[in-house]
Amino acid sequence: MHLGRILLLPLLALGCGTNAPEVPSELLGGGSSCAAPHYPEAGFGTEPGDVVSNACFSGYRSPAAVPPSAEHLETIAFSDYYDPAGTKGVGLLMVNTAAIWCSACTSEHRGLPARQEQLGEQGLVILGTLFQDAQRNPASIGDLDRWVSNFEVNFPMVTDPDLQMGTYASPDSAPLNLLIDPRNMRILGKYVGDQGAVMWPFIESELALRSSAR
Amino acid sequence: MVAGQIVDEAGAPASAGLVQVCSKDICINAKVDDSGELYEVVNQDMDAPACKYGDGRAFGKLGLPLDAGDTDLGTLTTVRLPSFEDGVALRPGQTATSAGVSLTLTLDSQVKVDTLTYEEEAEHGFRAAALPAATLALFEPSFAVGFALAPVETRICPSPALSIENSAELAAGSELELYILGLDVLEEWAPYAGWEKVGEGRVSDDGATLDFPDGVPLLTAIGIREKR
Repeated sequence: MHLGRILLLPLLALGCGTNAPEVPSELLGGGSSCAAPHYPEAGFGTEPGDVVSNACFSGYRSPAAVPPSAEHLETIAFSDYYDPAGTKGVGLLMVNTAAIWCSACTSEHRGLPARQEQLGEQGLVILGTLFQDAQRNPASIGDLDRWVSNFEVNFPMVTDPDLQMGTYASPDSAPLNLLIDPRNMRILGKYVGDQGAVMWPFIESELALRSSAR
Repeated sequence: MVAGQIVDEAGAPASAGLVQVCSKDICINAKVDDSGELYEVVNQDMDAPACKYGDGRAFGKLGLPLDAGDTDLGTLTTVRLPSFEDGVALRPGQTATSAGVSLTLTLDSQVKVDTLTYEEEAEHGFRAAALPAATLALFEPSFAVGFALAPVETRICPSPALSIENSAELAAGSELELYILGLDVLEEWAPYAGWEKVGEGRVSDDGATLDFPDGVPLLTAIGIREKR
């Protein structure tokens, strides 16, 4: 057990009312990697211009490099891609939602690995979220494993069984693509449905702009 | 707005497992109440919208193209597939038969099942169910018979020979056309929510079977009519 946690427990037991010690957020469930003390604290919302609230998932960060398996599961959060100083090399974050029941999603995912391959060096990070299976049950890790294998996913891919992405669009429809500025985590674009003909030119021009500004 | 009512072969309200307004670019799960009434307001531009009903697991998977604007689909009759336990293994060199539909696989056949939808090996067996007359009439009145096949989107290469019991009592020696329903937005085999002719065959000389030696390239809904 972490030393800080050992020292804190007696304090928690003694704490009462307004004198209760402030519990570090990393001890309040969700695992330490969900904690994001430096994440933006205001301006949250679900539409372009708003800041996305930090969301935390379970999945694979590099499924092309490390085969999907229980031991390789990681906690992956939006905050992992928050890059205010541009030191992480994230030029643009694209968060995608998908479900196994959604044929438009499977069609879209057939092309996403090539997009990541093509635009990754320019700073695009695709974060795929799988939220339901073929029967609309919450997506499991087994579903994620089969999805990753089926589409040879080469970008971070997670499950979203609690429908966290349902904040941004109804989980009765899919896919959804959110384009997020990693400098401030504001939504740059929100595309309900696979609007590739509009979205990809926008992504390419944004990446070019950001590249030239560096 | 898309409306309609889903019923089973007996006319009883049904859920069909899954009902969607689904285009090439977006899928929306439609609401179906206990009386089978389907009602979905669509506030979205859609590329080639279709109403897909049936999950391909308990129910056959079917689809109808939708016109622009409000659409009342009327009564959609879904069809229940045999249970997974009654599925027949698709093995190279063997014939799998379900509901009078037989697939004969060559010795070098490769079978590729959609493992996203059919997770367990026990779900990979061949199952077929005859489409009711009302469903056939809705799709293509000239179809003499039709079937929902599963596992949906299964690709067998080379295509397995197809033989179907002649329940429609078509005349011996009649020439036939085989159509499949496109359910994949990639349209590799058939237009999305449309029917495509994929082969020809004939009624056997003894009138017992409808035979398509060149086979069916994909497991989906099929329709058969006499050649014109």
